[in-house]
Amino acid sequence: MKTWGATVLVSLAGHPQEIDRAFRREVRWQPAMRVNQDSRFVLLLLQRLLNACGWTVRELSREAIVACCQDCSMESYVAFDEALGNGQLRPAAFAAALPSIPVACAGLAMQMRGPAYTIVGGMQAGARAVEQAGLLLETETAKRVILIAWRCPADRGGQRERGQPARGIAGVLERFSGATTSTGFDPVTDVTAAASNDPFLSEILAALQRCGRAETGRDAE
Amino acid sequence: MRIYVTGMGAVSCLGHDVESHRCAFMKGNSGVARLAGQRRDLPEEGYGGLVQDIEMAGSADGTAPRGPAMLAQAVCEAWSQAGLSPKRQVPLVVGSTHGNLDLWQAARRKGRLLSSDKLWNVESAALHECLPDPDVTVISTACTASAVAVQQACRMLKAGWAEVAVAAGYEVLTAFVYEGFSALRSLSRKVCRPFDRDRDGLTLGEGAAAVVLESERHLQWRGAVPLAEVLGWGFAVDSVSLTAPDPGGRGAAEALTAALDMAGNRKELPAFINLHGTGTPHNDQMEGRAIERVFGAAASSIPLTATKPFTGHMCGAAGVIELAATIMALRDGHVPPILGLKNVDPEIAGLSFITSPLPLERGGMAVSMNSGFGGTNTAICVRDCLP
Repeated sequence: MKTWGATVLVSLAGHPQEIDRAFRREVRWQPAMRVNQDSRFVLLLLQRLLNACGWTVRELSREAIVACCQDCSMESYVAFDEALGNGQLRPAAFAAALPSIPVACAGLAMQMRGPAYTIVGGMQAGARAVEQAGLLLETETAKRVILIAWRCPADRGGQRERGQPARGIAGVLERFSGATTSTGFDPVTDVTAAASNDPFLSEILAALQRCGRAETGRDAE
Repeated sequence: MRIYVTGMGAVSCLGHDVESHRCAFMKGNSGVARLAGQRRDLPEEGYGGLVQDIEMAGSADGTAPRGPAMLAQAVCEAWSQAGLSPKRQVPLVVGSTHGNLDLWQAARRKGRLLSSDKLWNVESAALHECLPDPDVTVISTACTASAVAVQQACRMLKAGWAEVAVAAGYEVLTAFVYEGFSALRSLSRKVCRPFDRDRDGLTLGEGAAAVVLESERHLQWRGAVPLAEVLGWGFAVDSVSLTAPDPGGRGAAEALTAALDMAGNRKELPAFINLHGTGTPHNDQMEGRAIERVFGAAASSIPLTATKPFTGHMCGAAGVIELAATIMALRDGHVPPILGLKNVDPEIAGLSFITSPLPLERGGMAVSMNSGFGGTNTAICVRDCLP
């Protein structure tokens, strides 16, 4: 019997220019224009999640957020490294060259002050993020956890992944009350194909479908 | 559910094991030195805490990354001290700010791509000697990363997901990070001097540390002797700036309060607090304010230390190595002083910063605090376990 799971899920996909246009229209937090694409993508995705939940920003203030990304903030890493190679220093790029910067932007823009963790790694990091979110729920550290996962096209060694859109999903994970597991809404299958086309995000969707076992059975003894 | 630390491991410029760190803390010997002649990619005129002679066991061609090598050393030392035999699928929660950034930079120089898998890979043959097939989670929350790793590992035990877990952290000092902090004008000209009136910035270090965390039930079952008990922890976000802390110390105060509340006895003052103490003007003042916020009139009676002048700022590894230093101090009955502190900043002069070694009675309680970019703040409260 599941004790927790995703009750709302949204997805987002778009090329950088599309994301920035939507960001300017829907989020309008100007400082993110000086950070990186990851930060704007995350803020836009969070805004879409708020809209889907019918929440105001104030309702996020004490919620936990667990984020997971591939090539996190890579735009900033590359920008600073390229500048270094040219004998220049770009302090703003260095300050943004952190996997946790997009979540920090969410904290600033939306005044989120609850637990805020960024999980990193390869393909398995997504499943780990789901587990870490569940851990906060099972230990009653948080009543709800915002799970957000994304991948922005990365410039790796001089070659941007041409033509690839940024993709991400965001959801609300919470404990189910009583014995019921049915909310009349299957959030995982309702997420658009934008997420299912990406192996990283697909792993997370699979983890969400598995999550919230009443007996986690992880004791190695 | 009570949680205990049963093993510790540490690698830094002070040495490759906990004993080296204990000796350095007792004698007041910093491992930070001029970078000149040490590494070609780092500026000669700079200062830093570099790990010497770390080798990747089992690596034939010497190209294995430094980070996992240091991590394996620390984790296996902790595991060995805990008296546990190699075990599969132990949760290993690792904090790091930038992972294997040295590999990433090297790949870029050769026009190659480095995947997230390799950038954040923490495993190695050396690690598998003590933890075959660990259940790895890597957390990156800037300079609070490994403190968060400790907290999440504790939660795993609390939730009954495991009876034993390892929390660790590592960070490699790369030219990228050095030049980055230099670009932000955050580096000290020499060695950092936390809380000093004339402090001028931080000094970077590198290394790894690990703690083995165990449930009371498991400890009793195998008859093990713990080093310390984890009484409580806290995490809070400032939401004020991406790089600078809240000058009022509200986030750090909130994390500290949460840790003390979880520990359960607010009437007991900590025997000492090991502050983040980077030596930057903003951080140190913020922490002073946080202590004043939490303890009020009693703030001046709490001894405050900071161990970064010994090791340098180990970024993602700072949380767990400073927790280990805190436990060492409790067990040795000796709190190391803040090296380099000569004239306390007048803005926080009402607080009690330790400038000479402080003897302690065994059995006390202490707190280790950290803060990071993005406004994250952590506090972990531990008590010495008497033999």
